[in-house]
This record gives sequence, C-alpha cells and structure tokens, in this order.
Amino acid sequence: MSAGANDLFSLSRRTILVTGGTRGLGRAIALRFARAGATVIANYLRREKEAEQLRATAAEEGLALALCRADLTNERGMEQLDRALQEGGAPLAGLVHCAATGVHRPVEQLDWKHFDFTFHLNVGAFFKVVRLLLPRFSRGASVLAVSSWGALRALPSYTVVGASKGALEALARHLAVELAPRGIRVNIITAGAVRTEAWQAMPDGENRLAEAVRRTPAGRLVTAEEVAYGAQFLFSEAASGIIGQSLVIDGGTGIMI
Amino acid sequence: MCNQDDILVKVREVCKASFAVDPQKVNLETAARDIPGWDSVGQLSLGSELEEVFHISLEVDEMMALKNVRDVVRVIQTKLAAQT
Repeated sequence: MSAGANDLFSLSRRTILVTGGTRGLGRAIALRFARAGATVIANYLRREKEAEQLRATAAEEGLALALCRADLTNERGMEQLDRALQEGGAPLAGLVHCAATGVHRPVEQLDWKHFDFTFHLNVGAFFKVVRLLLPRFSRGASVLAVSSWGALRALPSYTVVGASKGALEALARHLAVELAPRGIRVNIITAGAVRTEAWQAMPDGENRLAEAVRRTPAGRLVTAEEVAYGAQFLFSEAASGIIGQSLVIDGGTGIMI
Repeated sequence: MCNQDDILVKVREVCKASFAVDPQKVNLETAARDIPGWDSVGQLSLGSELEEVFHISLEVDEMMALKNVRDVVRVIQTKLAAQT
C-alpha cells in the first residue's frame, strides 16, 4: 500500500534501533526518527549524562524513545541488547549504526590495539547487530550505516577510523545485495564534517573544522539535524527504490577540488 | 574520594563486572595481561564501567593508555581531583 504525499516520509508504527544513539549524529537521528513517529531504541555505552538528557528531551516532547545501555563489542552486551529488544516485543523496522570510536593519530603512533579496538566497534559491532536482528526485521525494514569521507579520502590522523569506515561501507553494500530479496534495504550515509563532540578528541580539531568550513561551497558545516533528515528519507517509503547507495550529506565539500 | 585505597576497592569491583575476575586477586600491580578479557576490546568495557562507577569522562586515548590497575587508579585520581 503506497503512502499519501503527506505521510511519504513518515516513520510512524516503526520500531528502529539506533546504535550510538545518545550523542552526536546518533542523537540527532534518534530524535528525528521519534519526531517522525517511530518508536526508537537508542543504544549507548558511555556518557550516562548525555543519555539521560536525551531521555528528558524525549519525555518533554512526548516521544517514544527508550534507552538501552549495551556494549556491542562483547557477548554480554549483545545479550543485553537482545533482552531489551525482546522486551520491546514489536518486529524491528530498522537499524541505524552510528556507534563509532577511534584513535586519531599518525600511523607511527598507532599499534594493533588501536586498530583492533576501532574495527571491533565500527565494523564488527555492525556485523554482529545485523546478524542478531535478522530474525527480528520486518519486511520493508531498513538498515543504515553512518560513514564519513574518511572511507574514500585520506584525512590527517584518520588512518584507522577511515579504514574502518571503508570496511563498514563495503560490508553494507554486500549486505544490501544479500538482504534485498528479503525486502530489507541497506544504505549508507556519508556525513561531512559536523560539529559534534567527536571533534574535541581530534588533534587540531578546531583548525580542521575551520578548514572544512572553508572547503564547503555553502560556507558552513552541515548540521547533525541535516544528516538526520537524510536518514529519515532513506528510511521512508519515498526511498523504497534506493538500495546499497551512499547518500552524501556534506554541504558540497566532496565536489570541490 | 581521591584516596588510592578507596579507589582501588571500587576498581576491583569494576574489574569483576568487566572481566568476571575475582576482585580479591586484583591489586595495583595487576596488569592487563594478567586478566583474561582485558584486551584492546575489553579496554572499552573497562573504560565505560569506570566512567559509570566514578562519574568521570575518559577520552578514547586515555582508555587505550590503561595498561595496569595502577594506571587505572592514577587516571581516576586525576579526574576526580579535577572535579573538586
């Protein structure tokens, strides 16, 4: 049944899991989806305070948003997530994988520990969560992997994170092909530089943000909310024909030489 | 609560929660290699538990730098002292 023009972008009656859903892009996507009518489960691991702030915002607005604290890099965390989803009951209409980490250093300052840690969360957790959710996905479900330009382009001190994002995108495209016959669409968002707290952990973060502004045709950074609008579109019926694609939301930075 | 002994008591419980180890076997000299599960990935579990129990925030770099219990206690002392 096709949606009318007014509800073509609605996410009502859908239950969606957002990993890394209490901070940065994940928070913006979780709120946008809930405001579009979805029931959102926002998974997180760290920074309880930000999680409680999100809970308070959702409560103020009367949004259907629940928190789940689970470490997606280990079995205990996956069991916690599984239990939380069981308690939710409803089939899942989708997953957004925003959870990400990484150490921003030049390669001579990186070791295997940094690589392993980064890949486990940024890529491995996506694989594990998709595997966990496969039996729970409803037909018509969507999966979205949140990536960055570092998957395709070289950025200073972004070696391991960028490599993990490249792997994430490749995994997403393969899943897109495998899951399309089940009616599950998998896509990618490539977000440009967005002012989130993640930049505080990067060496020279402020200068790099200023450089990102300089390189953006619009003369400003994209916002987390603008990225979230793109995510809503990819989850909506309006995007029903879009499978295995990367939607770039970067204010045009990527087209500049 | 910046006292080393008080912090160590809680760190032992964090190690129990993160790695299912006997807290009585955890002391300042205990290193990551002594605890099964305290690997690069276990570092995230440990760091997140420390944040929750001590109400502190750790950067990823700080988590990755924790090589033994003495490092853990030291970083917690520093964080708690900065809060006062």
